Amino acid sequence: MKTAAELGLTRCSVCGTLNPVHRQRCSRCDGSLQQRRRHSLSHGWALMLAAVILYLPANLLPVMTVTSLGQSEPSTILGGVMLLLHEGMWPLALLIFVASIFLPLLKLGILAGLLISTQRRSTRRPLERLQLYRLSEFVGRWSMVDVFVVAILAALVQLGNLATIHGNLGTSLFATVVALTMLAVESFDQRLIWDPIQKNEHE
Amino acid sequence: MTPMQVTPSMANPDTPMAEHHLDDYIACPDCDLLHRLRPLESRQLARCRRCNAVLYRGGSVNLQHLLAWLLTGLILLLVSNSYPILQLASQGQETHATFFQAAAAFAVQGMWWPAALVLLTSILIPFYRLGVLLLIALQSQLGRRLPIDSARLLLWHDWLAPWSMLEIFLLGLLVALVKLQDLAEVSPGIAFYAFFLLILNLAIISAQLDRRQLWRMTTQIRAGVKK
Ligand SMILES: [Zn+2]
Ligand SMILES: [Zn+2]
Repeated sequence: MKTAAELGLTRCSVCGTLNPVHRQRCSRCDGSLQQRRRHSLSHGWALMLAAVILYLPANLLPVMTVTSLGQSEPSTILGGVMLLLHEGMWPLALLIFVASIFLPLLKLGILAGLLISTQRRSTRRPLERLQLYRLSEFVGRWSMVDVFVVAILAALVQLGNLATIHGNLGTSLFATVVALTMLAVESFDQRLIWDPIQKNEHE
Repeated sequence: MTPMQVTPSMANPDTPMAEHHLDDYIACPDCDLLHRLRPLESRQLARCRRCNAVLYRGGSVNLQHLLAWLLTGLILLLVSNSYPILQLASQGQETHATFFQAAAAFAVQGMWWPAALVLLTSILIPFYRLGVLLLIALQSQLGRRLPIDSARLLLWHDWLAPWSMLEIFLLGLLVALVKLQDLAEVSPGIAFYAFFLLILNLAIISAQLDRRQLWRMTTQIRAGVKK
């Protein structure tokens, strides 16, 4: 089994055309060519660690404040989940819990595992590791749902004295965490998982 | 049908393949394994032998159908931006929010960064991606080149794919609907249904598009070749 890299070829990441490795730009789309994404691991680490640092304050600070009849009540993500549980809306509570709390953690865990194993040039279970990568790529975006919910509520609930809803710093931080983990996944080059295996095969 | 694998006899690792043969091969985007291209029946998918990633799609795009779907998408996007998406009534007071107001709510409250993110992912990027496809399909259909750099536009179209979050916004709308049920009377507006149809429409478009075909269309436009 041969990879493009072993045959001195680079796959254009934009249009998929194969180019000889000495080419700087793709013959079809003129996109810049990189056999493997440059600084894939160091960028991945930097973005992931930034997301880890922001994860805690994003979950501890209030994401929105409901002002009703002169009383203000700030709520965090977890507080919102508990409130929904208390009101008996457990499917919704579960959805928010999974999207906002569980998925970001899962994604950070997968990223850390991928970065460490790739850095050590591990040859174990490449297909499973690729599938974990695909999972984190697929589910990561859905964590944005809570940011959208707060935006929709803030736009809609403007009832003067009766009730208003404001977004808070927690929402900004949380949106940043989601964006950072998405960028981290995008900067990781999944083909790096397979490179040590190719090398082993020929030794 | 799985595409044939490259064996060392077909391509010697010591001598790089001749450039004119390169178009007969494709490398897996997820594991870089080389495969020889095989003709496929329409709607058939070629997958990687090692990691099962989709390599390419059989058949070619029906330009008229594609244009029709794209125009439908554009109309739905405009409709969902011009009418209320949710309406709310409580103790005699009524408010409603349009799609744009929801996306801009954070900006009104001085939270610029999440405002930018919501505006980009729920309106600007989906709008941009639809527009680029429309421009490329139109140029192919007319066999005429517009004074724009289609390749660069398509490049951004591909890069921005994960940042188009309409379906997640729809989930957000549903969550907001349920959450507000106790507080007030909420109901979906016209835009809500247009929005729902738009997401179906976009799924249909992306199911018939193949990156390689899009790029072939674009390079043909650039070379000034008629379809
Ligand atoms: Zn290219
Ligand atoms: Zn593969």
